[in-house]
Amino acid sequence: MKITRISVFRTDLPYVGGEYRWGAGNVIATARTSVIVIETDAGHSGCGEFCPCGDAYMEAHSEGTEAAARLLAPALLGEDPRQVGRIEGVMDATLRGHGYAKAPFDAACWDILGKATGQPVWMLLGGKLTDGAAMYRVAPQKPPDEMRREMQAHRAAGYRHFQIKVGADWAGDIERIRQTVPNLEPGEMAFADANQGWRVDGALRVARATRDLDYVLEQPCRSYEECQQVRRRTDLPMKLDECITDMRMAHRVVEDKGAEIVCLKLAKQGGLSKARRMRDYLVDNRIPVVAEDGWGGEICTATLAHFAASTPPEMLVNTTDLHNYNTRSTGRPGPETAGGRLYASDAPGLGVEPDYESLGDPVAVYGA
Amino acid sequence: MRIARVTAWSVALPLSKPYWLSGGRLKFEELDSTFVRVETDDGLAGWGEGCPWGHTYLPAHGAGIRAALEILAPALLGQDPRALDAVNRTMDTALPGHAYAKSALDIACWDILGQAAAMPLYQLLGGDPDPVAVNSSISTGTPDEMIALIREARSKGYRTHSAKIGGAEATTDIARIEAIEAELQPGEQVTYDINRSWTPGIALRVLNGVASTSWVEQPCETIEQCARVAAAVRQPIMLDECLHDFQDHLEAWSRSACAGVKVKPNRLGGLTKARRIRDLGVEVGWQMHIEDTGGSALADTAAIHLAASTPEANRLASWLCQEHLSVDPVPGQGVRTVDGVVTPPSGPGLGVRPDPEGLGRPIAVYGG
Repeated sequence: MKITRISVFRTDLPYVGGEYRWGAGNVIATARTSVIVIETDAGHSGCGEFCPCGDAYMEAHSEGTEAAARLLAPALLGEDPRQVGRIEGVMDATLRGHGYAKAPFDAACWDILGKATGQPVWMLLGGKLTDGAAMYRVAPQKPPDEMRREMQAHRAAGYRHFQIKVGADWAGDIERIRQTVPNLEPGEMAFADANQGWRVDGALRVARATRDLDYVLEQPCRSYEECQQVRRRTDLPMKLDECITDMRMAHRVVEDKGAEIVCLKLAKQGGLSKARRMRDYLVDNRIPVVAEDGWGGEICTATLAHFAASTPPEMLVNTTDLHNYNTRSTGRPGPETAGGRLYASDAPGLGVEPDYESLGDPVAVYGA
Repeated sequence: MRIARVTAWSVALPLSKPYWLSGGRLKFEELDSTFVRVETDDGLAGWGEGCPWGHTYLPAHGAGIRAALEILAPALLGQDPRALDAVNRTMDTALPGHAYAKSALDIACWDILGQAAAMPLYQLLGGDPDPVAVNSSISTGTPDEMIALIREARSKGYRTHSAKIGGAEATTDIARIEAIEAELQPGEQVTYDINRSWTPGIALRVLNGVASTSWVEQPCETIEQCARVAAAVRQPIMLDECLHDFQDHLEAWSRSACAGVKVKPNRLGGLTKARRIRDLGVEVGWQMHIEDTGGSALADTAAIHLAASTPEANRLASWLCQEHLSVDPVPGQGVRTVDGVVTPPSGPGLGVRPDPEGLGRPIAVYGG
């Protein structure tokens, strides 16, 4: 089986709630997503998606995906997409770094491998260890009353994990945490995610002012080292995300006992193949993980659902239904969500097909 | 003074002969350069060049620079180009990471600062215009092939050579090193550049199996691996591709992973960030090769301004990419090797002003 054609699509995903705010002044109303469709001479096709949460959040931007595709797509034509390890090697030998731009190509090849073998991707990743992954829900930065009301609505829909976006001014963040966390019901979990927004002194003051509360402090400061500096002075559990970029950083977490929870984002780690190796390494070393991605539509979330489903339940903290944050779609059907849980499709491959009506015409086509 | 317009050109730079990187695993035939002109509202124009060495050497590629300009150039319009730290903060906020894509803009702003201050860049960077020794670059091959290249370089006046070796076979590299050491003449020196291609085991076997105490550059992939090697061999170790930001250099220093580093504006994000690394290197006693990743005499000249302003005790020779090219987009301008050394231009700014007519149609114009 050979790759004969690769098409790149681009579409804007407006946020369901108007404006989405987080961290140190970040805000998006619309995210620009890229969908890659890979076709083969055997009739199978596969799709993958990468969507940055705005261009300024992580080392990833929309234009960068299309720029990288100019090198990656010609290198992949003629390759066997089922050999996902070989595909990963070809991409890494063609372009160093830029893992985010490789993620949708990697996912599309897993999709084809699944279809060619008649298996859902979760089966190829080791099996359905978690049937229905608990999801968290973000309560975006809003006045405390509004935030509390939103939590109640999410609870009614089955969510038990809540993320509070903090990281702006530390004094206001203390209030935000104090007004939200005490409303948790037994068995619920809260994460206060600063998205790298605090300085170490601000983070320490927040931790000290809220030490009577039970919540997880998430990526308080920009670098791993700053987060460790905070960690030495607080007993709150810590979740690290943005600074855990690759296997080397996962190794540091294991060596230093540098976090209680690590958030794996498929694109941040360079795609499903690489994220899966990091996950297995962390799980083997008893570090629980969050399975998610930066942003995205149905194709992104479908990939995520297979990743979450193949993670042992006791080591999977939660996941996200990213596709429910947008008013436009990238694929159909979206993975099923019910009772605050995300379910991976049992159909061969990723179990999602591109929504060409929403995606429009390709912005680039490589091959025949 | 405000930035009023940014213009970008895509410039193909064919190599005069194919170049094989260490280990023979990567071949390069043409570089993909981007020239950037920044114009101000009071009539000044500064130039910069961003040119990765292919797209497999570092996580950097030509189309990636031009994709990032779509975000960076609009963000800089209206800013004072002389406020270099503010310019860099704007770029880092608008687009995290992608340092390589920011270098040309940063250098063009330095050019404007120099013109506005009527000072050459080497002076703004803190130094006297010392002549800088130029080193050859010896493509990998059999011992005989490499010695032929060294003789050719010697006939052109080079006294310092960078010999690309490395691979999976220790005995091959031992043979190369012994043959090259026997060929060296009094006053000549060589750096063996491995370009990450050894595993630590091969590195220990080769380096402890030869009498040479010449510099050895980037023996393995990561800082950790290189630190292990540095602790167990006699040769001084120089690091290059594993260093991307200031934090990496701090880590290399704190782990005693090297006695010197390569300082390349395009890898680090421009002269502003390269200067910080150079200053750290001077403080901790490193010896540095200061040059760029690739490009015409425009890129070479910017790097040589930094090299010439660095204390002689802290620098080794610099490599000039222009000498590998079959074209010269800035004929007669900028640094040119005479008797194995170069001296930076002493006029205001960078001292290279490409003729836009010779560059073809711009690929993008931002601003009025």
